[in-house]
Amino acid sequence: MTADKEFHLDEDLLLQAVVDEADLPEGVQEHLRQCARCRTEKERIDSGLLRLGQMAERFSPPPGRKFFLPPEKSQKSSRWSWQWHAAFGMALTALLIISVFGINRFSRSGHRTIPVTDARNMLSDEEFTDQINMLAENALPPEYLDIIGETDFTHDETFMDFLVPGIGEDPFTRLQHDKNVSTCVKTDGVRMCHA
Amino acid sequence: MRRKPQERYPDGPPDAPEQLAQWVEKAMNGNRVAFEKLAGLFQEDIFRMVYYRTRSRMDAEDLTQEIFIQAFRKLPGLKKTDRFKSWLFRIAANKVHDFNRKKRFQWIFGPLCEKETQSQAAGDTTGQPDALENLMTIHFWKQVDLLLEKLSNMEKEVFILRFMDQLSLKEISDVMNKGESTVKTHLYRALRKFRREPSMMQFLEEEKT
Repeated sequence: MTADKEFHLDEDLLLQAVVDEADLPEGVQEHLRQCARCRTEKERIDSGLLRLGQMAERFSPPPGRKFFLPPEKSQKSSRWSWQWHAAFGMALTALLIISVFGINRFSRSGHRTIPVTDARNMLSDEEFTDQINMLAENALPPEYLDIIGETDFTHDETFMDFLVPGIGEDPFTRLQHDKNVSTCVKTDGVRMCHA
Repeated sequence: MRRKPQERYPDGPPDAPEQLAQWVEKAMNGNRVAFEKLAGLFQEDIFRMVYYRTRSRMDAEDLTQEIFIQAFRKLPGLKKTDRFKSWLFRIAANKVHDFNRKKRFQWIFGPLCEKETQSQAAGDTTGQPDALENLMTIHFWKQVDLLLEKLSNMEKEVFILRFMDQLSLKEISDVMNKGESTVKTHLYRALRKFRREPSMMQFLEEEKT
């Protein structure tokens, strides 16, 4: 195709030229270089597309903030943090071992010292136990025991037997027997005892 | 609007691709300063790339941050330093793809409240409330949406990368991991649909005048 005024590039060829002029056949490229009308038409499409790009840029906002790289996580600090974690773990383990085995060792040694507070507690416990025992023997308070004459309620067995003799037993005889009098005989109203 | 080079590159623009390659190599060895220079160079491009696809300023900002962090982590794996830009856009494209997939999932199971309205997006574009500018913004993105609706996913992606992100055919081929001829085919089809969208052409013509 030459710069013949009767022949011009059609729409398809013009668009091919817009995409890449070098792809057109040599004759068409030559015509495009020489034909003012075809060149104008191609430039009109080119300028329209260029304007599209410019307007897209114009009707877009500018970037609001500048790009920044986030602060670098240094490998040194991460290594340190790993070491700190390891050290902390080891210290914790050591503390546990010491606390478990150390306490056992102390308890085996026998050198136990009782703290003052513990000793006081023990004394008060003993007093409390005595009070409980007394109440178990006689729940009445001492004032009531005085009233009923039972202040000395710790009677011995002998006295109890005297008060409540066994069946068929003479309390008097029994009393003599207990006083190491072997035989007592009552004759004419006079009682005679032999050792 | 495109900023002046002094604003865009506070440390000065890279004089040559060699300068860029040096920064990339330094950044590959873990040099944070070099990477921040690279980020300063491409942040605006990546932010816009994400914004074109999400239409949410907040999402675009968050995703841009994530993209650069991911890029810094993966940079030692970059094989060719001269392909840094397309490599970065590829990360961005994947990130946006993941984001849209999650958003679709949320849309199914959650409320629609997260979607930014056109007016909110318009309010984002300018620092000051300018009614006319807002109206133009809304109108423009509506026209773009009408056009993009008619394109297939591949055509859409190729079209946006070429004419809105202003990437070369080679770069698009790298980003999409497709042959250049495939890219050209999809671009040609997208252009045909673009030309058949009279409202878009009219809008662009009006803007020209």
